Amino acid sequence: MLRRDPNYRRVRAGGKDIAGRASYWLAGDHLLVVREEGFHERYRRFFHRDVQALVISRTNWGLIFTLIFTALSGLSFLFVVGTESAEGKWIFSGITALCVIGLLANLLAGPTCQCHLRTAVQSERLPGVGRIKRAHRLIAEMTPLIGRAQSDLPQNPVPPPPLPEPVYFAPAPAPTLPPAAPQLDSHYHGRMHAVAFTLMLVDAVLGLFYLLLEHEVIEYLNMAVTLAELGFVVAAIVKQHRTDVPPSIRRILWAVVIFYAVGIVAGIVIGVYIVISSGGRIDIENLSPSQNIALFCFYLVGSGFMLGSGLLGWRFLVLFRRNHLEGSPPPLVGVAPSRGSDVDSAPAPVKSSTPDPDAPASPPSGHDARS
Amino acid sequence: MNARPLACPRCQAALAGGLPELSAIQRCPACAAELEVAAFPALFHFAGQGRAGEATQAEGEAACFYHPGKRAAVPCDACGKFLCALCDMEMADKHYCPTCLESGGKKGKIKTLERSRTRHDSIVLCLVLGSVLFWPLAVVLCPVALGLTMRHWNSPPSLVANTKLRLGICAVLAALLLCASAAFWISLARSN
Repeated sequence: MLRRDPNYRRVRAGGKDIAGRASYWLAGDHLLVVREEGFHERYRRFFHRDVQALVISRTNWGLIFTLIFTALSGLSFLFVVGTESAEGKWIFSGITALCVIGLLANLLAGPTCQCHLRTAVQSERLPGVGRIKRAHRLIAEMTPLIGRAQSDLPQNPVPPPPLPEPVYFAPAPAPTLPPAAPQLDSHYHGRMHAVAFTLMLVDAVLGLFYLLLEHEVIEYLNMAVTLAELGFVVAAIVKQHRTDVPPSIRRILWAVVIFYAVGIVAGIVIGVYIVISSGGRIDIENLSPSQNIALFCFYLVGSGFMLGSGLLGWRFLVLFRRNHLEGSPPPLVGVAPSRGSDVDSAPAPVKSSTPDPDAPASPPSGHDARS
Repeated sequence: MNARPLACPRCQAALAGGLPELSAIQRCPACAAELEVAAFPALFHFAGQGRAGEATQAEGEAACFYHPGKRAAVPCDACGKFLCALCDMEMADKHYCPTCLESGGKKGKIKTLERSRTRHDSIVLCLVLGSVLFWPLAVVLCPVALGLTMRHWNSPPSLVANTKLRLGICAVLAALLLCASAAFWISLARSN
């Protein structure tokens, strides 16, 4: 075991993520990453001499978790206040406590990030290093070892000057051709998004109508529209992959998906609340928003969210289409690089990249074969 | 000089500058993502061109096993074949040929090349938990768990968990569950 191996020292930088758990072990000349995935353990070694850089990029997952836990805590607290039975109060108090603990744990863990380790041949995302604190700890532990391993290299090297355009390359394309966005499809005009946003507005209107009229037909129609809307939202998310759809539109779609996920959980909680508050008997009247404050709030919040998302989505979509029609390149904030781009794959070539006359003809041997 | 500049992990825009400039970066200049960069001298270091191997000069001179026209430089420490400078894979002060390097990694003979191991203790633990959750199936699952424990007791253990301890505990639990389950089914058969 590595714990008993004097050559290895554990760094408290790893953790769990969606695929498994990762742990980090430092040896004198390399970093060993142990990844536990299901019934397998996978190992990656990065030699200190090969490490060129460690890059931390902040993500928004911490904020998203905070919002989700806050919403769930508030919702379950409302149920604690609203339910009359003692058992119901205990159950929802327990749920509230769990949500609050989750919220505090998320806040204490600190902001979230991704950490990438760069060598001459790869840019590897370090699994399990999802918090800034862990990433800083890892860098603090590795820096002295990397410094020692690379002590014979120039410590303050001057970055190379940009090389001139080579004469043996093909001439530049004709100036009349507009420069295309690298790796992005600019022919998609947001048709799928338009349908999704329209269905959101219809869903909102039907939800409000149902609150006022409580008619069965409106309820079934609302359910059908909700299902169709969810389908088109997912289709739009897939369709917008590798296109120049702006981040504002992408965020709205993801917010709707997260809202549905939270809504499903809230729906389960509301169902439990209804059953408990009615003493184990499911009364049809209890399922009516006019008789049940929790259901009323559920429909109201849902309709309001869909209305806002639909209106905002249409606003940004109109701006996006206007930019497309005018043919002008969208502003920097509106140009979204593909979110599906794999940071582990080779990066996009620099526009004026030229072959380095000093570059080796074959990949360098030695340390790189060991990574 | 490196052919690939350091890039933003979000938008792949090149991050220019020397070590002090890179360490001072707070946001990507292209996508404005919040970044922190810890750069090291290897970023601007050229590793050197790979060796190609020298051609044999005289007849009868020892030649590489894989390149008969190239002079042998070292023998493989695993199989003894003669290797030229191109075929020589040096690792941890030892020299390997490409074949031994690959098979050494796959078979676990070269520890530093080992890429994965199977967690047999986790498999046995899942079987035991399954026996607890689906106790009527314990008569089937527990013997499987015990069999796997005996079969993989000496298999390469996990690097991070105490495999034998977990296997031992799971084996004891599996045996107890098997006895309890067998007793239940026997008493059920007798009562019927």
